[in-house]
Amino acid sequence: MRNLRWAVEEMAPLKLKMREKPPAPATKVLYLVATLTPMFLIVAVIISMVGANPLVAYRELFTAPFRNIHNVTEILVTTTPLLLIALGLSVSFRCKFWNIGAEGQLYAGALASTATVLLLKDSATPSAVFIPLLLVVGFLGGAAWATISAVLKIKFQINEIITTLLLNFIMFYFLSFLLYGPWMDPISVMPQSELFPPAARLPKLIPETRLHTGLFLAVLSIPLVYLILNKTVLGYQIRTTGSSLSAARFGGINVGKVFLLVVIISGGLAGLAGMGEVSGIYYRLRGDISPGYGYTAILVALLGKNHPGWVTLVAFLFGALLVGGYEMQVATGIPTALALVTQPLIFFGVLCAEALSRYEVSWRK
Amino acid sequence: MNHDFWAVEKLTLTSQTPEGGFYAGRAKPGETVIEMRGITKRFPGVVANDDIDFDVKAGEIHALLGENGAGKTTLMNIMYGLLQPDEGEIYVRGRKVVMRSPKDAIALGIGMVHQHFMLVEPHTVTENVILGLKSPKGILLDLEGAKRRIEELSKKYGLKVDPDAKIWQLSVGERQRVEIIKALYRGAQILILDEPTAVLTPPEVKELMAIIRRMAEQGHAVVPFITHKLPEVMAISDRVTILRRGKVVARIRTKDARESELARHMVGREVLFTIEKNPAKPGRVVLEVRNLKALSDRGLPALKNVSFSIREGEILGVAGVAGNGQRELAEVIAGLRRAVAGRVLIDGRDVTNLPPREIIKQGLGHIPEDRMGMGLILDFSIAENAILETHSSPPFARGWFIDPQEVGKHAERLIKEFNIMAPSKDTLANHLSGGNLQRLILARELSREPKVLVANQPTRGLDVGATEFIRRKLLEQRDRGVAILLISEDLDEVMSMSDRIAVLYEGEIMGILPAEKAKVEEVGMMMAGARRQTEFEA
Repeated sequence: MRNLRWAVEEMAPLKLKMREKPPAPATKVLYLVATLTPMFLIVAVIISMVGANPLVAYRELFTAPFRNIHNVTEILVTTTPLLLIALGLSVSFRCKFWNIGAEGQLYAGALASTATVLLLKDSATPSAVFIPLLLVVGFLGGAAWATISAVLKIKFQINEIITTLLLNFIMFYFLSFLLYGPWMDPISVMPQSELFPPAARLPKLIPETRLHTGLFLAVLSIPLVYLILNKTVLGYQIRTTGSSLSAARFGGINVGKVFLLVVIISGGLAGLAGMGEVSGIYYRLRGDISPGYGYTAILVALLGKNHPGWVTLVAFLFGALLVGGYEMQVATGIPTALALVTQPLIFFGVLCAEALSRYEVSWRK
Repeated sequence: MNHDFWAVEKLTLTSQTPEGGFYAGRAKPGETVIEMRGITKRFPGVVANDDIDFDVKAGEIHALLGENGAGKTTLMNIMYGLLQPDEGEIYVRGRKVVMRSPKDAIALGIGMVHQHFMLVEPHTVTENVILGLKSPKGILLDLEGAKRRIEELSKKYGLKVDPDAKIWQLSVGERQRVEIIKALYRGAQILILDEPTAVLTPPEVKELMAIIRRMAEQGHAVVPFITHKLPEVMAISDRVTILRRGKVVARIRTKDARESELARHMVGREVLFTIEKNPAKPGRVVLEVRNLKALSDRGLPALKNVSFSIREGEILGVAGVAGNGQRELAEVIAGLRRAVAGRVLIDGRDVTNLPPREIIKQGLGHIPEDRMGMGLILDFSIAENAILETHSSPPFARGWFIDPQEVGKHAERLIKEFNIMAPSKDTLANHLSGGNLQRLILARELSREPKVLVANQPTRGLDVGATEFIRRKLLEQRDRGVAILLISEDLDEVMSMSDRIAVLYEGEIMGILPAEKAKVEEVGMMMAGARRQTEFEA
């Protein structure tokens, strides 16, 4: 932040001055409006360039998600994996382990669950055994995939940003190999696995919708993550490690162990999200069960300041944004990608508002 | 340190040719070359510089003296264009100037020699000196021409340095000379020296003083910023300006002054250099270090065969110039750095290279040199900081959970016992002053009732009140039977606190003397590398 300030002083005709006290909440909201407005204007220009009416598009984006019960359930459907992953990531980010491989960990969880289903599909395992088993396997799948990066960091000091990211690609291609090869559904020509037997499916929360009981897991994780971070010995060690690695070592904290546990939690929750998608929505493994939840969740965790409460709120808003994006596409014919563009722009806007509440900005004389 | 880092960036941007420019032409001896009037600079919560007037004349050495936190660094950064004053004006040779960056300062003939050198180690002296300057040969480097100029400068000022030597081959003193040449090469008429003697051995200090005098004779204005080396200030400067809490408290002609007078101005009262202490009653050996070897962060030998032992109720002081293995010694004992050879024993048990947790369990307390990075977590509350080493054991931990009540009670006890000035136990550490931070660390370490206490620079940068408090507490612990390893760059502290004094030089112990027989001159010689012949070690 400090170097940024120097950079701005040197490059731009702007002067930044550290504020002596943080501005009032109302002022903060004002900053947010002031920084987000230009962001939406930018998208509006692009929308009109593809020949659509930006007002209609925005109306759809913001109101469609709440238009009817069905759409609200869709918000919750997308919120479920976002929230699970983002909660896990906030644990990981709190100790500055930059896990950006949640996408791969989600698929690892989905893959592990699917493997279990394929193994047991003819065994007539009852649902009461099957579902808990899949939950455990999904969690372990994601955790195991993430653990690779933790071990590489602890043993060989290899940067986790690189390894977690690259493992995403490995997972993706491995998945393609399975879906086009040994796991391909014999009765379809699509790259997807067989349908799960009913005993391996998560029950629906509301019939005729895609909303499944996986939502409970996500909601349950909110207080759980809060407790872990703030009330436990492990949470203390996570926060210490994140704030000062040398203080953590000084205090006798086994930093490697902390990284390992954190990765198991965050990878495991991502794996659980993957299990929820295959077992709660698609009832089979496909290559497109996640529209980038693992990446979006990074933004959710960061915007939520790694705090479970805020993360929940942001996850819901981003869920609404995704649903609104689809509705916008239906109503105006513009590609969903344009709706997705709003995500990083919102992120930028919030960062700018944050900077404004920290610094006083003026033109250089 | 960010400032220093940025200064390099700025220098590399400079395409300023040294000749000509605003500073063309020599200043006459006695002419005021830089004058600062009514400089005020505020930071959130503090007035770092409060209405400061300061001037230097050509051919004059005008030292700026002040304790840490007195506002020296801020003033220096303003003088070098790194910070802009909120109020006040700067005149260079009578003309009002506004410096937006070091680039402007350099163009005005102001040069800076940083305390931490900004040199590219694999490059030669010449390459370092011309770094960032426009070459007279366009896109080709003019190394030969530059080398000739460096040799001229080197002769003129007595700055002995080989232009073709690579920086990594040079000693600290030589590197400093390269920095001075760098400034002079850029046409500096005013030289700001940041703590120029902090990292030098006594012979190197002498040499530097000769160079500074030479520069003054040649008409340069020299401004050394010094924290606590009063004898040096006395020996070198013509005038001294003393800062305290952001204000100028005295301007003195050195030849009219006495050392004690400077000290009094600096701290605001007469300094008592002696400490009352009870006679030591050493018991059995609790810390033993045998033939210890360790590497520095850069992988070079930092400790070479270090051996000593400390008994119960005894303080072993380690004297030495900064960077001679002190940090490495403390870290190896605490398990934070690997020993490549040798052993560390606490109470007879081998703790060499055990994880820090195990060593803490054996009864080690450690006051680290890096208070804010290692000793405390600044965005944690006092209460959270107070359980850094003990958070995973009862009463603070109950199973997997931390008991906030026990933690709170513990913190409140420490706050009371150690007079930590804070609104509550939930105050964040970064809202505490340096003295209170150190009290908190000390409180935490002592609350574990250690058998061995390693205190590295326990009073550096603290105000007088906190310094006395910490020293008293350390002596109290000694009298209670704790074995204390006191590592300090403050020679007075080592001399007055210790029962025995070890001198560390380039990773070796030059000798261990009983404190009552140690003389400052002798310790000084040992700090410069003179080995002691007779060992007093029992």
